[in-house]
Amino acid sequence: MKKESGQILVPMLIFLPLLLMLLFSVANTTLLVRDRVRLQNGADAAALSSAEWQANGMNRLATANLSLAGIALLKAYVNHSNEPLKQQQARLALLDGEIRFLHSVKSDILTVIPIEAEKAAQRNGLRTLIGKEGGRANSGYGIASAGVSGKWNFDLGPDGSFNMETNRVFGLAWRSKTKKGVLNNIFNLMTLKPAYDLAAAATYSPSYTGGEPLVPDFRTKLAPIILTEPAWRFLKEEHGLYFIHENYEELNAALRH
Amino acid sequence: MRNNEKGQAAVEMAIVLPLFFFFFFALAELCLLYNARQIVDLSAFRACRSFVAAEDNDQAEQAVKQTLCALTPLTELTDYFDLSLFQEDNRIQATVVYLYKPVFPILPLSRLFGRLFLSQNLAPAVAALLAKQGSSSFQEHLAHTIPLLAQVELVR
Repeated sequence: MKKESGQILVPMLIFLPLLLMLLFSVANTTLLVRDRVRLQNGADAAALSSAEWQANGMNRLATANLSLAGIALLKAYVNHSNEPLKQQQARLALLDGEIRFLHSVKSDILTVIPIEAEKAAQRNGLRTLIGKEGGRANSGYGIASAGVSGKWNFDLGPDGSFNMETNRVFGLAWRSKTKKGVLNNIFNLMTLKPAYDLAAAATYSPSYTGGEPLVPDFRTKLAPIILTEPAWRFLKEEHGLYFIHENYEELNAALRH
Repeated sequence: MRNNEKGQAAVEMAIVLPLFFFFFFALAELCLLYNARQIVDLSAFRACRSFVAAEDNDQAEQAVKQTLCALTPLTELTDYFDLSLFQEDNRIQATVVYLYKPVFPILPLSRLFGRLFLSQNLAPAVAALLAKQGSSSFQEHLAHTIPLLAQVELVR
C-alpha cells in the first residue's frame, strides 16, 4: 500500500513546475501589456498637452502680431492726419506703449509657454499613469515632455521653416524601477525591466506658410515619432535612455513601423 | 493476493493518469490562450494608436503584425488575423480578430474556452469580418482555431 500511494507524485513533480511557469508567464504578459498601454497613454498625454500649450502660444503670437500690424496702420494714419502736433504726439506715444506691451507679451509667451507645457505634461501624465492627482510616492512611474525638436517659436526646421515634419513635441513615459515584493521578484527575473515609451505630437496650422504667424488657427494632433538630432541627443544625455540603434535615422526607421 | 493488488494499482493509474493529463493540458491551454488574448489586446491598441498618429492603414497593420508575430510566424500571419479600422468624427475604433491555433488540438475544451473569451456583443463584428473574408483561408482556418477578438477605441 505504501508503495502505491506515491505513484501520482512523479508526474506531478514533472508537470507542476511547468504549469507554474506557464501561470507566471501569463501574469508577466498581463503586467507587460498593462504597462505598455499605460506608458503609451502617458507619453501621448504628455506630448499632446505640451503641444496644446505650444499651439496656444502660437495663437497668442498670431493675435499679438495682428494687433501690431493694426497699430502700424494706425500710426501711419496718425502721422498723415491733419491733427495738431501735440495731439498727434500723444496718440503716437499711446500707440508706442501698446507696441511695447505687445512685444513684452510676445517675449512672455516664448519664456512662459515652455514651462507651462512642461507642467501640463507632468500633471496630465501623472494623472493618466497613476490614476490619482499628484501621483503616488515611489510608484516607479514617471512622465515628462522629453523636449521639443526645436525652439518654441516658429523657426523650427533646419531651413528655418515651421512644418509638421519638424515641429514636434516628444512625450516620454518611463517605468524607472522594477517592482518590489515577493512575487514581483520572480517577474523581475523574467522580463519586467525598466521601460520607456515615446510619443510625439505636432502643432499645425492649415493657413500658416512661413514668417510671423498672423492667423490664430494652430491646432495639435498626435504624430508619428520622427526624432531630429537635437531631440535624439536630448533623450540620450538628459534622460540617459539606451537605444539599440546608435544612429537617430535608424531609430526613426524602427519607430515608424 | 499481492498480484491482485498490483493489478488494482495499475487499473487505478490507468484511470487517473489520463484524467491528470487532461486537466494538465486543459490548464496549459487556458494559460496559453489567455496569453494570446493579452497580446491581441495590445495589438489592437497599437493599431489604433498608430492610426491616430500616422493616419495610415498600412502602418496600423504593420503595428498589428509586429505585435502578433510573438504568437504566429510572420510568414503565415496574414492568414490568421484581420484588422478593421473604423473612423467617425474624431473617434477611431480598431478591431482585431486573431485565430488562435491550439497547442493541444486534441482537446475539445479549447473550443469551449474560445467561446468564453468571445464576448457576446462583439460576435457580430466577427461575423462581419468572416463574411468580408469570404471563402479565403480565414474561413478554413476557422475550423480548427479559436477566434480571439479585441476592440480599442481612441479619441483623437
